[in-house]
Amino acid sequence: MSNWLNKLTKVALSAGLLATIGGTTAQAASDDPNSFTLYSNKSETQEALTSYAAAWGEANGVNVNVKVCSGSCSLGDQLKADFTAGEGPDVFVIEGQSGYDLWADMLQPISGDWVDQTEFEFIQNDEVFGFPVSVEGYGLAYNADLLAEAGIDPESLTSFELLAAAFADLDAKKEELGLVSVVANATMEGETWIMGNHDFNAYLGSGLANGDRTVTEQVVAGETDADRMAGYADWVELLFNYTDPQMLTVGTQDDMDIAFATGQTAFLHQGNWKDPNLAELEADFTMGFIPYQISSEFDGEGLFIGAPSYYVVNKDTGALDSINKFFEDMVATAEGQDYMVNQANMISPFSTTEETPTAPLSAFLAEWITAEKTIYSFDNTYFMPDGFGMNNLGPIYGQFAQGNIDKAQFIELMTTEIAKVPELLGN
Amino acid sequence: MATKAPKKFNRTSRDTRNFFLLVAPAVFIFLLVIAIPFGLGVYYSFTDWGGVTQSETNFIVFHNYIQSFTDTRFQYSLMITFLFAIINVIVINIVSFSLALLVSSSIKGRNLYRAGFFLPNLIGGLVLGYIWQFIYNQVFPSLGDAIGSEWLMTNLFLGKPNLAMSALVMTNTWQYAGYIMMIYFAGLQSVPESLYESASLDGANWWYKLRHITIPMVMSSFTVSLFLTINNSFKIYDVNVSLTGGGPSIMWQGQAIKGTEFITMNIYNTASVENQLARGQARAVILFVILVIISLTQTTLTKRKEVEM
Repeated sequence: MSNWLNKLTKVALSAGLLATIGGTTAQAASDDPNSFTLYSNKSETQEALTSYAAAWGEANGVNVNVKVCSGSCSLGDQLKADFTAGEGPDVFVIEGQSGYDLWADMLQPISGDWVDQTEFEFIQNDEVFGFPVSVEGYGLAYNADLLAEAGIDPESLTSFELLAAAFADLDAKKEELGLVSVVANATMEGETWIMGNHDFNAYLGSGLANGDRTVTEQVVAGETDADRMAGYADWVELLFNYTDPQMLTVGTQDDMDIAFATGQTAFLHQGNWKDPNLAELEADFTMGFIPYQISSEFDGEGLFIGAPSYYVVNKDTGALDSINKFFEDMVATAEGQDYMVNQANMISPFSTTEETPTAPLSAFLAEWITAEKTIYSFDNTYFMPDGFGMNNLGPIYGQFAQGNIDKAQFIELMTTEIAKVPELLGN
Repeated sequence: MATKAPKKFNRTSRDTRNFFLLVAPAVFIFLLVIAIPFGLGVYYSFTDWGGVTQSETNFIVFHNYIQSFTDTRFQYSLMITFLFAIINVIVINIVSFSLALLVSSSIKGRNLYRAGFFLPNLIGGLVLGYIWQFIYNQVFPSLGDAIGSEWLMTNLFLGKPNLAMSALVMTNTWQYAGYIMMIYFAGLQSVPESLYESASLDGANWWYKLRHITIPMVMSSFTVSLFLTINNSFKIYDVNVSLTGGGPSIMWQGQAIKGTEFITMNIYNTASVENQLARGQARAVILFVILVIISLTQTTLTKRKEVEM
């Protein structure tokens, strides 16, 4: 009898042990009005955000738990896992229209005075759902000191012909300027977002007003504007011709940053999100952006600026008031503005923010915004099917970069892939 | 030992009950973590399930499977994974068997070698991939420069599809050879010395002993290693994503696609990046069926060749 009891005890203990090992759970949408979880996708701002949230939380009696999923962790995948487990966070990040479409059933509208102080909030059906995290932007980044040394004025590069001439000029002076190549760019698998997302966005929006979706709607219907694509192909060819082949085919974004920061290239195909990386690499020259020139038929005048991501709120959260206050304070208080601009090195999307960023590329963009210069849509690529830029278009840029296809084939392949968009979106 | 008369209580039912009690937790977890999700997965592969982000699920029967088999990219993934698996299995087994022979001989420092060869297996796949990416991109060209090899300097391993394939084989071999070597090593240890002695007495040379004694006797290790390496080669992902990222791009049947996108990466891209969860699930089921067929065939064939002492 005791033998049997012994065995049963052992079985129960081992089962209990297994249960406790598997017992850790993630944070779920909280019922407590004074506590919420915020899931961010930016590792660069994690430290700043956590300390700001802790300070704000203490001052307002709210417990804010900041989590970050970035780099090799994909926030989209993590959220899918968490929500499926019934443990979606209170506040998380979405990127653009496709992000909203994915999570539409889980969100609720938000409000605050800040809505009137920005043009970058995310609106759907006349309701505000997204608080813009920051404003990001890009054009073709340049090293002002190097260009000055070469006698080129970046503000004069206002057309495709002038830009091509400048590239040729720089290429001829490579030795005396210490350049390896004129442009730093990459197309390898893993970095296909650089061309497939950001550069393709130029095809979708360059030359059009901010929010003008004419070309995007064409692409969504599977059509390609042949003239526009031909001009765009010339631009891609120009870029590739003046980039070091090894960097272009097997280089990573880090290789690009290092080359630019150490003065080995005069231009960098990236945006202001590279400020922290460039600062770490001790790039201490004046920088700026010039517009892309994707056509000989019109001059590119604008930079692509917009909010790449928004904070959205879980409809099941019990802490909506605290969350709204959190957003309000981030915009209205001095500490909030200090966090956004100085600590997190972001460009504030709000017109009431007095601070201006110190990081060179961000400062350039902030000035561009204040001077009300031309802005092209940043978010056209978010209307594309998921993974389209990276998986469908990326290899085409890669083949073109490797020289395995010529410009005509490039145009043909791009057109074929664009023709698949309606089917990919419909699924 | 004198046998006692069997006791008259019902020993069988008590044993059965204890059996079920002890096995219950493991079976429970197996059901919850493996069996039920697997069943659900197979069910979802016949629908257009979108997970938590889609409210409706419609039964579309074989649409996902048909689309997968007619998709150029997936066809290429299957082909390239098979190719990689064949090459990888052959290379790893030859290398690790040779290492095992080396380490079980009376060479000096063999214990050090044994530990040393096993170490790469302890490095995580992602870190391994990034380190080797650096080696292929920066170290090899510099090496080519130093020894005057034009070929090494101009041919970037990760820039050409064929070379990228061999880069993956080399890296994966470097990672796993030590682990498989241990399996062969254990098998080699269990071969009785007496067999070798009597063979030497009969005048057998080294090669003869290898072919007719060593290899048949370690067939069981061979079964295990073959099974492990085949499975590992088909399911490889971490080194794939960190070393090549699926690249370089190639032209295949008029489409530009990723040149080393193996099945697992294709499944991940389909399900998570392109948000086609049900289709990704269908592809995962296809991978499962392939692996089951191959593993069963392989273990049956090699089991027949095992020699029992």
